[in-house]
Amino acid sequence: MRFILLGILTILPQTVFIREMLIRLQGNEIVYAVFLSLWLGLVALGAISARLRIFERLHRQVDLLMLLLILVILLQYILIEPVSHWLEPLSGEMIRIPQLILTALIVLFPVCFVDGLLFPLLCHHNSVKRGYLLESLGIAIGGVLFLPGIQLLPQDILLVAIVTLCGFLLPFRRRWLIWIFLLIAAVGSLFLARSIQHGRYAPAKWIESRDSAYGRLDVTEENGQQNFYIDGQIGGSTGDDLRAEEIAGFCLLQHPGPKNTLYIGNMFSGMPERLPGHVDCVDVNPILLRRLGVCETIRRDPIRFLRETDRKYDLILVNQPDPVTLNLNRFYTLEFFRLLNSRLRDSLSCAIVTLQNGENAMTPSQRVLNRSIDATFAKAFPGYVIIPAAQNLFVGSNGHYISNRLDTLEARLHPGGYFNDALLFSRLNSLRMEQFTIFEPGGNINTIVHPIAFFNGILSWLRKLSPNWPNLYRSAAIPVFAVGILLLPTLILLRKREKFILGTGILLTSLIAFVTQIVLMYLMQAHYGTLYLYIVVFTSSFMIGFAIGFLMPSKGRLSRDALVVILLQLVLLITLSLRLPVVVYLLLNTMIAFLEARLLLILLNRVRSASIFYHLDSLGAMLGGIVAGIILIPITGFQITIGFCMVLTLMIALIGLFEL
Amino acid sequence: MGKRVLLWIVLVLLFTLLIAANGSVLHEAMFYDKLEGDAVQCRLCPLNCTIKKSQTGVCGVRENIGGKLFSKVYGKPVAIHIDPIEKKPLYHFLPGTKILSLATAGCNLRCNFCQNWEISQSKPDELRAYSTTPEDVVKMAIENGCKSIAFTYTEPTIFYEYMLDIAKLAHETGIFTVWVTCGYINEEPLKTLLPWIDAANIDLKGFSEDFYNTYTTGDLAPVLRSIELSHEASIELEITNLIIPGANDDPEIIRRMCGWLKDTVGVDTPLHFSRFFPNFRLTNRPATPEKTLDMAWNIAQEAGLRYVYLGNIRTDKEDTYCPNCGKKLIDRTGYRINFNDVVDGKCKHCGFDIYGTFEKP
Repeated sequence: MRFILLGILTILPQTVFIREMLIRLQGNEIVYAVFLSLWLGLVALGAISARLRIFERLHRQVDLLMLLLILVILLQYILIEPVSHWLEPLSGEMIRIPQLILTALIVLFPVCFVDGLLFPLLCHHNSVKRGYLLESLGIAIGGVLFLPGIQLLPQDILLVAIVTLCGFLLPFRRRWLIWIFLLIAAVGSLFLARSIQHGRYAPAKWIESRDSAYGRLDVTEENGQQNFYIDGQIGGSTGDDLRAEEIAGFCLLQHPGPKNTLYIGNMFSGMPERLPGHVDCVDVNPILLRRLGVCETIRRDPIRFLRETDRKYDLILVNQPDPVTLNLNRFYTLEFFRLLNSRLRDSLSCAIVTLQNGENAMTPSQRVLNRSIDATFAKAFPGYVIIPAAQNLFVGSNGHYISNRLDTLEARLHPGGYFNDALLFSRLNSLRMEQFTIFEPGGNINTIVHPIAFFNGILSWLRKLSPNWPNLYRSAAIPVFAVGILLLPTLILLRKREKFILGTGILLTSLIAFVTQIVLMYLMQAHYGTLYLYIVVFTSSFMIGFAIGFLMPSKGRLSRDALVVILLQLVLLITLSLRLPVVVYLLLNTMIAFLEARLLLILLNRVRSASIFYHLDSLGAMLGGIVAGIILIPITGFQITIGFCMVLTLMIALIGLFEL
Repeated sequence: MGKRVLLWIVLVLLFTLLIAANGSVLHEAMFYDKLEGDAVQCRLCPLNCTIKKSQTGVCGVRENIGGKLFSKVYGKPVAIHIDPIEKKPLYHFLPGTKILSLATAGCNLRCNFCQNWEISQSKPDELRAYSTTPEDVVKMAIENGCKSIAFTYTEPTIFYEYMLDIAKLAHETGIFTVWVTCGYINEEPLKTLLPWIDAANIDLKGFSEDFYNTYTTGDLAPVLRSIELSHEASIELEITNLIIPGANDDPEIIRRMCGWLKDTVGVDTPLHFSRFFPNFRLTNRPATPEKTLDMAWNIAQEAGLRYVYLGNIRTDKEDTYCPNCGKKLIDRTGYRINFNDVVDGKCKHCGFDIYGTFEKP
């Protein structure tokens, strides 16, 4: 029972904390890798500490320790906001990586440490294998509880409720006393956490929040203006008439009379009411949709809607935030632009996509981004033009009506509006247009598998923090590859040294498994954007696969099992660009974990010290998370990362050939 | 022997070419002192950077080469555009005309809310620059029908020598010059520049040292001094204040600022309250609410300032009214002038003198 409770108490805070941290880093998926790596490292630290005398004696007090774990979870949940706020730069400023890591460390340390401490202490009375199985069962139960629970309850209530219920199940003598204590702690923490979190956007007043499968929407209000934060990043405000008028004005000059328009994007700006005829507005969040009274609202993921609908449009306007996350990058890929084209009614119809730009000059990263979207757009639309501004408009069509010529558009202008000739001139005069005529050809096509825009977003973010960082960051991939390449001759040279070979084998196995998990997570995010919801299933499915693999009798051979892993990686490589069902990603994840456990079992049989085994296993996974999530995937992309993994797996096969 | 001589001649020629090419990019800077051991002290702005050999000042564009200070951006603008003059914003200087606007890379401040960070926070070698002499700039202005040239987008002080040469040349050809600045400049260079400037918009970013230190890495006092000196020089002066929620939107501070402006530059100097949009590093603070801007506008009106405007927002508070008869004189929609009833610098209805430089476009 205690193992099952430990499993639940592991997966729930991990899921909730990671979602909260994602909001703190404005939706940037780097958080997943950083957070999971740190989690593993800190849990390992707790587990190692269980060997210390001071903690070893606690095996008789495991119930008290579990109660402590529950209290620590509640306390740390309250502390997420103040800690991240305390470490944040100026309110509203971009978060730096050291701040992110420090916040994660402070928030995670107490929970992970106690969590890590508990497992070996519980194993005093049980076998490790049984413990693994039951903890994994608990993790699965936690995952199963979380998924439907989050549809019904806000995540803070869900976390506090389940964690408190776990406390109720602990076998204390005077249970009712513990129950009262826990209830007070639960209600108090919930109240405190909420009041602290609602003060996050001060001086603006928090109005409401809503989680979807894709992320969170927070609404605040100040001086009658409502502000909308998507995944903690300001997405826009009400009353932004100026920009709405300008974008709508340019759109309406690109079609002689749109009767049917599809609008995807920031609906709070007042854009839909400026579009004539029938307007369909698609978004996943009901908070946004219920604010619109002027159009038909469709509550669905826009990409899913475009795939499933048979409606055709005269005008499609996509006004999403910049592709700085994998989730947002979905709206700037070749696949998406082709989808847009397939929904255009006729040759007069056009699709318009907005993209951030420097109003007066482009930085190198803006140039890379715009070139990439330019090349991608050109591949999806036979005819297209760019209208330059602080937000560039990429206009694509299958006909010739669209234009960015000043004289042509001036002739189409209706007199008397806010959108007028002076504004048109300020955007389209010859000198302003020149920055687009000097685009170098051959920008990289932005696709789901090659999310150039997302990678560029990371570099741009780093650049704003320090101009010299992007180059330094890019070069971070070099030592990773260098170590990878040097490993092979080192292994061959030191093949007689069993300790080294075994250690490397364990480290590599964990590293590869975790890198593959991160690849699968990011890949699913790039295709679906729903990792925010499915992260719980991802981590629990991995644990389940691992537990099953660990429990099955070990009869395999290292080189043979390693080849099976390579085969699986090859399948992943071939199917990268395919939009596989979510369940397939999860199954692949479970299989990878299963195979990792099989490989580790073979290696474990050769290692005398379980402690060394455990350390190397945790270290490998931690390294894998950081290397894949922060360096390999953002710098080199999915394909090279998988290729790198395949080479490392080959090395494990080689270790097997050394007749371990 | 013959081959060696030939080799030497080639080398000397190459070296000369290199120096000549280098000379065409670098232009010796004004306002600096030589210090001991090849170091120099830049005297252009209040930062007064001490610059060691082969290093640049905070602005990133003034480099110490062999004990001399050079401008790396002379003749190297990274942005040249034609804008409506209302975009600067200048509402009382040749309304309805086009203005050639240019900037080079770099800035002497590090405002974390910079609305032109792409240019201002870049080093010269990071952005694509045009090779454009002062003569070219003036020629472009004439060819494109611009009555004036604006030094804008980033802080023009950092390309001082280039700006000064363009301004002198522009005046020779009857083109007006406009300085859009944060006012972070030392007195001596400012006094040298002002005779060649016809109009200026000085960005008074806030009215507390605390705000300047926290958000801009600069100080308030030198900016106030620049406003005073510009006013004394009798150029057409307008002030812009970008209101950032939670940073410089305290009504009491805005009231103090308006009072200071009234006492120092008079009630006629136009004041623009501009709406902040999340930008550069301050990307997670929302845009300024319209009501906050209205509040600032009301405070300025109560303080007695005659020409107060709101910018970066769709509003009716962008029109000019006669302070005497109260009639609307200039009707603006965005950058468009719908009508202009200022005739020879006076109200068409009551003949009241309207502050500024007016001319039929």
